[in-house]
Amino acid sequence: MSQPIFYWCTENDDISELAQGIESALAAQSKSLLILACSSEITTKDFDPILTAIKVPVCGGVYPLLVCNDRLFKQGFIVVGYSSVLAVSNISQLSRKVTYIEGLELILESDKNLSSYTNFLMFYDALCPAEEFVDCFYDCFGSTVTVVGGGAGMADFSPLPCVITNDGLKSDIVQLVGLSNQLYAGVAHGWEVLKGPYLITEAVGSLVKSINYRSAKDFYQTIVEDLSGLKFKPDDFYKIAKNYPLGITGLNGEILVRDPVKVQGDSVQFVANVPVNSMVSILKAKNESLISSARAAVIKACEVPDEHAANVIIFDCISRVLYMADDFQLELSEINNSAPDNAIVFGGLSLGEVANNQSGSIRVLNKSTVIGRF
Amino acid sequence: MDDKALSLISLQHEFGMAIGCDSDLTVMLKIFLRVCLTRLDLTSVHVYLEKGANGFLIKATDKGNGHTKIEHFLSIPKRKEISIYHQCDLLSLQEHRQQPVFNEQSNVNLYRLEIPNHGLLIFESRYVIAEDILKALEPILKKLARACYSSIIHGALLQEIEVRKRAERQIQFQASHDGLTNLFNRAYFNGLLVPAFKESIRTGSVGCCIQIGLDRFKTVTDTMGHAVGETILITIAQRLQALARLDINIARLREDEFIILLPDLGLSKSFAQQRIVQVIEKINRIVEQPIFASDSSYKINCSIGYSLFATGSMSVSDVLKYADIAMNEARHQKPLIGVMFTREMLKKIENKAAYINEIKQALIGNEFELYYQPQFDDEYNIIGAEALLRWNNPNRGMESPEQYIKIAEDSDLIVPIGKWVIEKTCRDIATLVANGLPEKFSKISLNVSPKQLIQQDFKSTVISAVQEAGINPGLLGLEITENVLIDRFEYIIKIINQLKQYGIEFSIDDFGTGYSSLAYLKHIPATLIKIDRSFVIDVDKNPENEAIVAMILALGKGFKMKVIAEGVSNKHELAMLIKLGCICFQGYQFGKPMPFSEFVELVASQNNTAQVLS
Repeated sequence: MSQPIFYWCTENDDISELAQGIESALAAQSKSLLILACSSEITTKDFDPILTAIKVPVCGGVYPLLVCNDRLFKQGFIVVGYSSVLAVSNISQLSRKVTYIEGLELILESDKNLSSYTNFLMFYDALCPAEEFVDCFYDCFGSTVTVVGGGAGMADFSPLPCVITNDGLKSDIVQLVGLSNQLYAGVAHGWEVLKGPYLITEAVGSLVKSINYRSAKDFYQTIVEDLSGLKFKPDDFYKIAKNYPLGITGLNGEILVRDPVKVQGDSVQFVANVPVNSMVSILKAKNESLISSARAAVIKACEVPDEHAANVIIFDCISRVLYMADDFQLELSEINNSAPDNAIVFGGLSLGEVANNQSGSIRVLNKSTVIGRF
Repeated sequence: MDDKALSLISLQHEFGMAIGCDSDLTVMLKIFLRVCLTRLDLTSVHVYLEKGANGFLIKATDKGNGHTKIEHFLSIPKRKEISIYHQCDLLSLQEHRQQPVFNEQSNVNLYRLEIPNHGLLIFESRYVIAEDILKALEPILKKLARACYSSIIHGALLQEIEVRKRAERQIQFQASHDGLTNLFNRAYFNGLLVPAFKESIRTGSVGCCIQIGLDRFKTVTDTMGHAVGETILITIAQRLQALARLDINIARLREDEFIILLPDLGLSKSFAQQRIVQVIEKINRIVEQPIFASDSSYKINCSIGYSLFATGSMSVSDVLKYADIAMNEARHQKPLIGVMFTREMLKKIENKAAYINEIKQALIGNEFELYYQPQFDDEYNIIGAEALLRWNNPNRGMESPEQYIKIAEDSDLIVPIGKWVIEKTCRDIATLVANGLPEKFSKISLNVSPKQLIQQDFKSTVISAVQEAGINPGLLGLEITENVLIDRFEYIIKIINQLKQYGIEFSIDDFGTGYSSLAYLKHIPATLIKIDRSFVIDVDKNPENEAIVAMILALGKGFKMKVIAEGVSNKHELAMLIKLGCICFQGYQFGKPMPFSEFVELVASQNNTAQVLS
């Protein structure tokens, strides 16, 4: 069972603090470690010697902000030690591997860790092709698999190694952690349709080139300016756009949120893929609905009584902090209050989230709250 | 346009765009299924396609040609197949068309949609798919059916092209390779040699052809069977293939011969020779390694000859011919570094050819004659003689038998010469009989070569000669060496038995010098062993020869065969032989080989003596 036997956090981002935390976890007979880090000073030079020296399986990531119970850490570390060995699989050089999907399928299918488990935590470099990966992973293992995860990295999307492995900090990698006990997931975002729908008429991956046969940038900015009464300036696109994401409405009414982060020529860059021909709407949310959705997510994750599930891990989109500002603390309090008393609550504010949707498919989400209890 | 209509149109548009994105059926369907899964928010999606009785996918135009069945083709996710649809037929598809089936156990709805004329699509969904969406899919499924048809046709064409290409490649391979060993064949090797040869002439860089002949390979196949022979050839070919690099080409030339081309060995002949010797040493090492075939281990040796080419004074065919000559020379010399072709070898061959011509002429011109060396018992009674071929060359006088017999053997002239010897001996026996034979005189024997023995008409030749001379077959003896038994053992034993039944006796000549396997000896229906002269020489002084002679005498006794000592040249040897128990002799001590006229007189004198004594 993935029982936590050691839980430690610090707001001090000095590397020696982390070393001390790890040492304490190992002294507590931890058989594997989950480490979350948040630091603007992170370098492989400092991290790698510490990580490579750990003789038990290690997993985790570096996130822009950390959550420890109901507190938000702007820097620091969280170390959780487990009484059992976690089955960690690292799929590295993913950008290259997704160019040959059949090869990636073979790698996944031949990985005994992956085929032996049905519940997984997923830490991944937010800049790697995570959607192609989860599609491939779903093709191989199907809807019987439950996954929760979040994209690691820097808030400014700078390409730095951000996934924690026994070989050091790594980039362009997906890390799957097989859990021996049940993983309960809750997913919500709280965003609602404000205006639409519109047709995506040209897109390549996450770069939308045209909407309703018009330049995506002009179309999006014109509509948002009309709705908000604000004016986009060349260098602060996200300042307004973070409040008006797009939503792809599924046939079952489920809204898949897509976060526009910047303009690129006449196109708009999103955090995850937006398929051509999909119907999209402009979304809007109130802080109350976001907080309430987070509560709904944690309630969903905790609705099944299970005394062994003593970990509550949060992957909450970084944009929610930016959107809610000080009110985000309320969201954290809601999550913490709704979690079981015996559980440790921890996580990271992520650059994209991963979870199963209502049909069982695994999706990369934006602006969402993903709660995993195990 | 309202949102719903726009939504349906966009859905149709996206599905339509996903069809036919690739000409490969699997890839095309995979892209389509992926869009279905994402856009319809399905849990899983599956394609089942119609297959004919032969297991191939059915094209719409093939429908109605025999029994068809629907088989699973593709699913997303891969692991999830809906087993209840396995083997279902079109009829049930029609009955349940577009009616969702709710599976309570897994809490999902299953939708079956027909891909017209090709199969069906199955959606697994955790929610109910609206009727208008299913309706909107109908034209899409027709388009999908057309795309399936095109992909199946395309796939079949690709398959056909691949089969044809494979056949072409096979034909090309067969045309250029040896069927047994997969090495290049002779014709292809010649094709490689020509440009290498021309390049060598142009640049002055030395090239080389190395010819390898396996020693006594025929013996192995004759005695152990062709399967063993083939295993040996394949093994050696594989080992030689290990030598092959870009600049080394290897071919199988004939049954047990291989050839290697080493082009562009540089301008220095001595350096080229160093490299050649290195390659030859390597060849010797790899050939000599034991070969395992039919639960036995075989050690094969080879003879290697080579010819160099770097000048325009020879042709491409000369290169091959010279390598062959050098290899044949190597069969006699057996050097570990091979034999390089030299002009002297060519001269030797020319001389040999001229000599063969002379032998032919000698046969036509009656230059051969038979000499007879008498054989005696320990009481000095003449008991017989050995007929020996002599050639009185009109230009050079008496030729050495050692020279012309060997050449006659090599050139197959031994067959007509041997026939002449048999006929002449029989006629001479008839003359002797007419004059009256001494009481102890038993027979005149002559040597038979292995090549004579394996001739189809050998038996009839002997019997005809006996009959035409009108002699008792028992007066003729045939001498064979142990080595005749190496080739075609069973056939030869059969012929010997048949002639023995006719009354002609066989003796084993040069006993102890050849392939002395007691296992074989046991099966030879001979009645006489002739101890080779090499064991008789100095038998009185040489204890080893004494031991060998004693052993052969014991062997003869054991096998109930008479023993005669050849080459008895003095009384000391004779005394020792008698002491050891030998009672029959041939040699200078008793008489040299002599012309028939002298032999007639000798026999007559024995008759007279016998008459005087009596």
